[in-house]
Order: sequence, then C-alpha cells, then structure tokens
Amino acid sequence: MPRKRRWTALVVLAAAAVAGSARGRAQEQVVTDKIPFTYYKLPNGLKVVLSQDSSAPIVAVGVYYQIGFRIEPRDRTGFAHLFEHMMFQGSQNLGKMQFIQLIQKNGGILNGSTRFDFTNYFEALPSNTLETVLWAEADRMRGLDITEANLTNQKGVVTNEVKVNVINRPYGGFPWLDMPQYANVNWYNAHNFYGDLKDIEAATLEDVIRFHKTYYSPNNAVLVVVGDFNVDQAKQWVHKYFANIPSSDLPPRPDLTEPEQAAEKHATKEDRLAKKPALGFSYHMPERLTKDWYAMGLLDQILLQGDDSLLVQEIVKKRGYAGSVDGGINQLGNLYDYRGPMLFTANLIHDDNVSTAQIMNAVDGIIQGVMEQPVDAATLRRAQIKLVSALYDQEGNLGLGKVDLLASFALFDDNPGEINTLVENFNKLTPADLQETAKKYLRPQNRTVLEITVATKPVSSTGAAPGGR
Amino acid sequence: MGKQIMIIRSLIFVATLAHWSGLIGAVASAQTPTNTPAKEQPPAPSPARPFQLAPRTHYVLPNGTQVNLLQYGTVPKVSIEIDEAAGKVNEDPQHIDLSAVMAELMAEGTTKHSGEELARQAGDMGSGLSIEGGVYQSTFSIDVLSGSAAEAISLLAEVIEQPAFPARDLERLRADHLRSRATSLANPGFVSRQAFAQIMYGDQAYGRLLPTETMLKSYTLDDIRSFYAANYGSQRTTIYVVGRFDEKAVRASIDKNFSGWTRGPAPQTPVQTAASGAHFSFVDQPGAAQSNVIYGIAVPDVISPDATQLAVMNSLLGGSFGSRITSNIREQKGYTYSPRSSLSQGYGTNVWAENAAITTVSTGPAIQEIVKEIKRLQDAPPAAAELAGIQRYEDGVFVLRNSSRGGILANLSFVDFHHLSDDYLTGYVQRVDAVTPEQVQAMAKKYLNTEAMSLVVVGDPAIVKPQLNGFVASGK
Repeated sequence: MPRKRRWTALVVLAAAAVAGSARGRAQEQVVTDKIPFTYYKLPNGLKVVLSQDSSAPIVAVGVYYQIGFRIEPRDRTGFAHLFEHMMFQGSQNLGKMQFIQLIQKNGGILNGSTRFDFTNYFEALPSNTLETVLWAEADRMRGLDITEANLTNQKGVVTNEVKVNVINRPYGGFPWLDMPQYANVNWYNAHNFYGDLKDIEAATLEDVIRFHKTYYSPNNAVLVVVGDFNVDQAKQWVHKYFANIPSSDLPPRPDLTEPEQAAEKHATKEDRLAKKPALGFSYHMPERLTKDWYAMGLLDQILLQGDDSLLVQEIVKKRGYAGSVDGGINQLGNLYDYRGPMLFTANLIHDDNVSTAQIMNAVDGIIQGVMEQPVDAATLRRAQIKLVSALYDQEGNLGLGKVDLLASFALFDDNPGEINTLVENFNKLTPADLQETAKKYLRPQNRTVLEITVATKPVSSTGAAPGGR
Repeated sequence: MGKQIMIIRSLIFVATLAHWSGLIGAVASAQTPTNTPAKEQPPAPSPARPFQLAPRTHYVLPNGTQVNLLQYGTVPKVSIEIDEAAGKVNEDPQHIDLSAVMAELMAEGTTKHSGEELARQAGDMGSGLSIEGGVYQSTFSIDVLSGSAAEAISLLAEVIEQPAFPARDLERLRADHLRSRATSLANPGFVSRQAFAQIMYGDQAYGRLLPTETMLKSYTLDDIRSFYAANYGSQRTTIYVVGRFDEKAVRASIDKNFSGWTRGPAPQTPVQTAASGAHFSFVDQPGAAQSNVIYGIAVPDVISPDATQLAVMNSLLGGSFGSRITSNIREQKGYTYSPRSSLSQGYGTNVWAENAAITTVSTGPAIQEIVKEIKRLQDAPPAAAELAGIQRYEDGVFVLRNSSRGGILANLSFVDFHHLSDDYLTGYVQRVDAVTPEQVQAMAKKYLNTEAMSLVVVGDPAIVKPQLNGFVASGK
C-alpha cells in the first residue's frame, strides 16, 4: 500500500500563480488567475474586490474596516468590539434589528467580528439577494442612528459575552486574550482587547458617534464580493449605493512597533475555575509577507499542525504530557488576516505531576532540533502540502474564507493578487531557509512562557450533586 | 451527542468563528425616531437561481459495506468519512466511553504501521486523520487533496480493519480522558448539559456524558479487543466520499480495501426514550458571574409527520438570530449574550430546549421571559410576514448548508442515520414553505407544555435560588 507524495495539485497551483493581466480602465485591475478578481477604488477611496465563483448559487459579502482593537482609545478598552455590536443597532434606513431581519428573510447568515487590525461585517446568502445586501451595508457605512437605550442594551450583551467567554469559563482567556498582554509591551498590542468591564460601562453615545465618524469611512474600508454574480452588474450596484458616501480625514496610524525582546519572559496567572494547570508559549513573528514570515508559516506546520507535527509527536504521543498541543499564528484569525505585530503560540493543558520545566525541556529539544539542523526534504514537502490543503479550505467556506483573504490583502497591502502568489512563495523555500528563520525567531530570548495555575482556594463547587425537584 | 450534532455544527459555524459577536435578534423596532424623513426601502432581490442537490451514487458491497459517492465543487479536495455503527449504545453502563477510547486508540497504530507513520501518511495527503466516538456511531474521517483520494481510502481501511491497539498508547489515552473529564466538570456550561442529559435520559446512552474515574482506570486491552470484535465489521460500515475525485480510482480502492473485510455483527440501533414530566435541577456554583440555564421538554423525533412544523416553530421561537426569545432576553433586556433553542434530533428521540448563560442577578426574570414567549406563541399564531421571514431563512440556510462538501456529507449521513430517504433533502424547502401560522401555534400548544418542562440551573445558589421560588412553585 505505497502512499506516494502527491504533487499534482501543487504543480497546477504554481503554474497558475503568475501575474494577472491588467486591462480595462487604468485604475482597475482585472486578474484572470487561479482566483480571478476585479480590483478598483471608488473616488471616495473605498476599495472594491469582486471575485466570481459559480460553484454554488450563493454569494459572500464582506466589508472590512481598518480599525481593530489594537488602536481603540486608551481609556476605552473593549470599545472597538462594543462598537461592532452598535453596527447592528440601527442606521438611517434600518432600525434596531432590521438589518438582521433583512438578511435572515433573504435566506442569509451574517455576523461581525473584531480583530487585531480590522473589524469586519459579513453575510452569505443565495446569490439573487446581492443588491439588497450591498444597499444595507452602504446604509450603515453612511452613518448610524442609535439611541441611548440601544447602547445600554448592548453594554449588557457585551458584558455577558465577556462573562460567558472569559470570566465564567475555565481557561476562558487562555491563551488568545491573555498571551498578547504578557508577550507585548507596546500598549496597542498589550491591552485587554475584550475590555475592562468598567470601560465598557463608561462608553457614551458621543464615543459611538465619534468612532464611526473617525474610522468607518469608505477610504478606510474594503468591500469584497465572492460567489455567483455578474461583475458588471455588481459594479453598477456598488457605484449606486457606495459612491456618494463621503470620505473622511483619517488620523495618523499610531506606532504599533513592538521592540525586540532581549530575554525570555515568564508569567503566571491563576485560573479560579480550572482544575488542571495549563501552559502556553509564544514567539514574536517576523513582519508579514517577508521571507522569514513565509518560513514561519511552514515551521508552524512542521512544529504544531496535525498529528504528524514534531511538538504533537513529542509532547502528546511520546511523552504523554498532554492530550493535545494547540495553537498557531494569529489565534484570532489566520496567517494572513492581520497587519501589525503578531505571535506564534502553542498551548496545552497538563496534569499536576508534570512540571512546566519538564514540558519546556521537551519543547526545547524539538525547537533546538529545527534550529541546529535543516529539516529533511520529506518534512518540508509535507508542510507545503498541508499548507496548500489548508489554503484550499480557507478559500472554500461558503466564499467567506476567500472574502477574508482578498479583504486582508486589499486593505493592508493594496494588492489582493497576493492571494495567487502564496503557494509559489511557500514552495520556493528550502530546508536551509527554514533553519535560518528558526535560528532568528525561535530563540528563547524571543519567547514568553505563560503558566496557568489552579486556584488553591476554589470559589466554585461545580459538579456538586443536583438539587431536588 | 454524536452524529446528530454534526448538522447543527455545520449550520452555525459562521457565528462561532466570530465569537458570536454579532448575534442579534429581530423584532420590529419601537426605537425608530418618528420625525425623520421617510425610510428608503431595501431593493428587492432578483429571482432566485435554481438550486438542485447533486444526487449521490449509492451501492452496497457484497459484504454489506454501504458506499456513497458525490461529486461536488471546484476546489481540488475531497472529504472521506467512514461511519461505523458502534458507539455508546453498544457499551454496558459500567464501560462508558470505552467505544471512544477504542476508536481513538485505532489511530495509534495498525499491524503494518505505527501511529507516527499513519500521521505522516495523512499529512502527505494534506490532512490529518480525525476519529470521534459517538453515541450510535464512531466516525473516521479525512479531508485530502483530490489526487490522494484512493490512497486516503486505503489508509482509513487499514486503520479500521487492522488496528494494533498498542498497550502504551492505551495508558496515555486513559490519562488524557481522566484529564479532560476533570476539565469538562470545571466548565459550568458542560455541567448544565450533563445535568440536563441526566434528567432526560438517565442511564441511557444519551444520558451518559462522562464515565467515572473508576471506570476509566479499569479499561484493559482485553475490554478494547472484545468491544472491537463484538461491534466492528462491514455490515456496520458506511463510506461517504464527497468533493472532487477520480470516481474510477475511488471505486477500485473501496473495492480492494473493503470488500474482503469480515461482515461482523448486524447493526443494532436501540431507541432511547426521553423523560416526561417536569424536573428541576440546581447545581451550586457559588460566586458565579452567570447562570447556565437549560429549559426543555421531549418532543417528537425527526421522522414524525410534525417534524418540519416543529423545526420551523423552533426557528421562530428561539432557534435563529431573529427569533422571539433572542430578541427579548438579548436585544431588549440584555440579560444574556448567546441564547439559543434547539432540537436535539436524536435517534428515535428528540428534545426541544432553550440554552442560555444569563447574568446572575437576571436569571429568574430571564426564565420568566422565556416562559412568556412560549405562552405568547401558544396564545396566537405568528403574523404571516414573521413566519415568511423564518421560512425564507430556513430555505436559504438549507442552500448554504448544501454548498460545501462538509455540509453535504453531514446531510447524507444525517439522512442515513435516521433511516430517511433522500426525499427528506430534495423536498425540504417545499415542506418548510407549506407550514402555516396556525400550524406553528399548534406545535407550541401541543408540545411545549410549560407545566411539563424541565429546568437546569448551574449558578450562585444564594442569589439565584430565591429568584426561582415563584417560578418553581407556579411552573411545576
């Protein structure tokens, strides 16, 4: 039963990853690549990416604003996320909850999310409803119409969200919310992104209006449509509904630079609900789309992704320290959808009879291995195949994954065509390249270790016998 | 609860991806300013494009193996899943989760390859091998690049037919299960689900969410081998291949790798019964910031003639972002972030339940609002427009659910698990559209008897119990 490594799909991908041909108007880029798209900007600065895919009669729409939780106001932690909720609370032509109603009664699903460097709003629907969705997204880009009561209501909802996801859940903020606060030193990268409950309570209607005026403008956003639609028709609708939304003067982007870390950091946090200790460790990532960044994408596959990965084999399968080792690059998204400083994180839950030192010793054995000698060719090829396979899944996902990649590359890089160069760039790398990157970025000096400890005096007694009738 | 969870998961993944951040209800707004210019109306959608489910190819090998093939999509990947009809229902009550431990152990080596070699082979195809023990079925799946379909089938066959059951890995999995057991019991959300499952199903398989520590410590390789011999074989095997693949190569690989396997035991599908009558369970969590609440009742199963009307009723009442309960306790009151009602869709059994993590001081009032919404629906049929909105939503979500290979595979497996025919899928939209406002009201009246609802609360007893006094006295 020989299982040869398969190259067919990789070769096809690489061959397709050539620069797209530009035609049409000077300001418009039409790419007929593996993932075809049309890219242009409206006079008000709104970036638009339209990508056809007729494999199902559905359409995915995303509006991404370049305002993430990193750069929210200093006395308003959690505000970027609270604001995301307000975008569902009413605009000029859609009252509270009518946006949701409109999408649902057109057979669609929708959501929004707040991330490091963007806040996004997205829908997936039967494709005949595209015009309706574009109209609705334009309506809330133009402005909000919100009452004090709506704001109070959403403060309650968001407070409950923090409780259910963090406060009343064992390992609730670990490591996705905790780790950036320990590993980073620049406030923009190191504050509590979900927000101090006091700050959430303090938010005012003026804050909401100012935030929309400052950041929710067409020149700070990208609109992406993926799916079964007519591009010329979509362009007319985009023009009709978005072109007359005024642009704004954007404030200068703050300095998000994270200074180079000089020595390994160690932190401990007590979890009052957890019954077993946990451990996480993070490395600062190289800058996005650099050679080292591509290499880290592959090192993540080699070290952490899948049962074949080196850390899973060592920590889980050989030593039995944990049932799994999880993690990756950008735990609130993926390798591609961020802009500023980022972490590569691994985390696990373990028993009391295994110490952090034992686990980190085993981790170091593996990490030093990839620093001291190049991985073999088979391991590198396997990492490349896994990465391409994962990229295909990202591109599927009802079109929302493709929306996410095209939006990120348009918003952060002004170049959605990056999507078609990824495979080629990953496949170019050699074992020596990976070793060089590992030496630079997987040093202990570039690392933060976070221990989650079990509370000695537990507050809760969950698991107690149920009461009577 | 195994199989029936899958279809729900594929439905709600977008919301979980986004941390539920935009989960909002919908009811006509009372907050609209009155003296503003007339609202612009949204442009109407164009006519819907035709949507047809791609038919599956189904055949049976001479030894009873069921095979289902379906070409879908443009992405060069293929999902392969093998459902083995062996799970918790085949365990004796003193060996809870033995079936899951056994299934997981099968990834750790075959008579030909070590666990590490199997993992590398899967990686070389672009994926990992995924194994999950369930209530009625254990699932072995892999999602690979199209060119590897035939090899992936042979890898799965080797894992299922020739397990080595290495002793060392049993000890490790035992420690993992003991650890994850402790972690689950520390999670108030899990504790509420466990208490509710125990009320509804007691010692039946759907009620046995966790083994005891003593049980886990007792499992031997002999137990594992006996369970395998008694429960695995081709008569209990169903294969699904969905995505882009070379059909000739896939058929040849299935034939080569599965037709020689032993027939094994005939499938057993014992039916479980959900409890009737009102039961109340309060689990103390002193100092809890929220109460984890489940409020529900047994209802007819998915093969009942009422199933579609029940599903539409659920979507309108609490099952969708725009539903009545969500509008009320989230968007009007702000008591909770992620309330949701659902139907459990078990094999031959079904439970409707509203599930919410509610801020501690508002627990009693929130439950009262849930009851109020149930009674409101019992008292009057929904407006035609409200129901039509829910019907369009259900129709649209059905199209979305059938627009990915994972969603299509989950649907096929769901139909087979419940012994339905593919008419269930092809007629779905038509059945949903036929439901009337009066039928929705009738479902709520007939099945959501608040006098017979069971309630689980995991929360702070000092603050929450007094809030429930009136409710328990009047409701039960």
